[in-house]
Amino acid sequence: MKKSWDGEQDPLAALAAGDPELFEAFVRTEMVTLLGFFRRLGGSQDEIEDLVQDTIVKLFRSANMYSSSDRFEAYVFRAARNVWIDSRRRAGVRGAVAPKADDDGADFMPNVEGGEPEPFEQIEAMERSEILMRAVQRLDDAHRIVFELGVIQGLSYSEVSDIAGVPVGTIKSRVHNAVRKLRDMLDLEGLS
Amino acid sequence: MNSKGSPLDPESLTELALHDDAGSLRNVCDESDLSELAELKAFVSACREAAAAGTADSALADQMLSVAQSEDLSWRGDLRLLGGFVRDGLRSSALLRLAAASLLLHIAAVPVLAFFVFTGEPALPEFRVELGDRELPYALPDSSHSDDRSEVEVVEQEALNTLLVENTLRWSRWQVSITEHLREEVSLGAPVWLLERAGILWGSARDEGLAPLEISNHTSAAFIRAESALDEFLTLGPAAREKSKLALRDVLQFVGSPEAPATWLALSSIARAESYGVVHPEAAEVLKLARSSMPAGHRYRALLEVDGDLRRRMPIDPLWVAALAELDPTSTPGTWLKSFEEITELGAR
Repeated sequence: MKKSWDGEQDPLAALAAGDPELFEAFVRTEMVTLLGFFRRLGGSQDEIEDLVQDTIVKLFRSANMYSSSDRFEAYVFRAARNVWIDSRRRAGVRGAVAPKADDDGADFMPNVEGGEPEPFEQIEAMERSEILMRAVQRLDDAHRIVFELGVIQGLSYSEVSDIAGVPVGTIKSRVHNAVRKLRDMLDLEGLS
Repeated sequence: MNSKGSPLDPESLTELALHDDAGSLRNVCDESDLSELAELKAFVSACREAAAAGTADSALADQMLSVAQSEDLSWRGDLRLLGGFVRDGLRSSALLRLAAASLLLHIAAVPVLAFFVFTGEPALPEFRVELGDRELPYALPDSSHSDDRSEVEVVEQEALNTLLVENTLRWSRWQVSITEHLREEVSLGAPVWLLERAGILWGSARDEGLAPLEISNHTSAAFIRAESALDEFLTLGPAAREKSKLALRDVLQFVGSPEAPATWLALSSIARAESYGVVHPEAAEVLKLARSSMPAGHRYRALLEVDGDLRRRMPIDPLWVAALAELDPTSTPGTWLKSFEEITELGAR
């Protein structure tokens, strides 16, 4: 995530206390994180936006039941992962939605606003992002979610284990395998 | 220890690259591990940097916030959410759809079951139906080995008769049980009609050219007791068996008496008792003798016959019909007999 939301900055704890400002700030700041998260897991732009919307609604509805003893970041990704699993289940009935590695990502192009990097640097960053996305999408589901949570989002192995519902030892092994495979793939693409 | 001799396995090295708090592992790294670690860290950093590309679309964020904040947080919203969840589940699983349909079917059946439970309709008695020859529960030995015949079990006729009587009694009790609710509306008055029947029988016997019979109270009472006891046996079952047998002993004394109608009455009561399986050997012997000596076409033959279970025409036997005809001059025995036969034939179907 772009910043830490734990402790006094916890958006759901604030929302439960009647203060929606932190939650609004969280959505504005981290929406792009969630879009990237779902984008790497696979789906069209419309589907990704729906998934982010569902995650935000889920978080908003759960504010009253939220325990601030949880780490907020892990809580958000648990909700996001559940939304993704539900969508995969629904897609399984209609016909599995395969990750769209060839999506040009035009809708995900960054806005050019004041204070942002120069356009050339942005394009370069977007290219790197696309390369990473294509490589991640070539992993299987189990390795993709573990790589996303453990490597990209930097959650601890125990948090990833809680979210994915598999033992820490398995997470450790999956992260290692995912990193190894991606290094091989990205070496060819020149990202690493 | 890994294959290169380093104490750190590759998984731990990856963990070290990802999390600074795994720093304690760093102490056991050798030179090659540190080099690999640096490469891994560079890779992770590049991945994170690439993943962080992009900035927020404020219009999209506002739209998402607006949708989230318009969520109904009351129980209605929860219900809608639950409905959506159930809908999704049903749409995604054929097995779940099948289970839901089965559940609905069972729920729909509950009022029907409740109706049968609360209306108190008694359950049908259990019958054993055996048609034709019984299938032997063993293989017959080859006929060429005649010496083995002694091992074949013989199915006794008595067992078949017992089965017949048991089924008849179950059926009769069930019929009595389902008409229990009629008790309050209809007075059966069994002793009364039996008494009348005995009196009228005397008149019928006179028509047959027999000597008039003065049936004493003592004689009437014996028949009434016997018939009542058999009625009780029909409704109460084995509890009334001894009473029926005792009553029949009294009746037996009238068999062979010069008072012919009393003989017929006694034999008909014994035949009825035999059909229930409560007749004692002495009475059975008398009945057997009466049957063997009576000509096949005799008018009162029906009184002594047992047709399946209850006598087919009891208590609506020719004697009884003739007596009714005597009471009602407008009717004739023939018309009574015909109408009752129609009734019994319908019942038999």
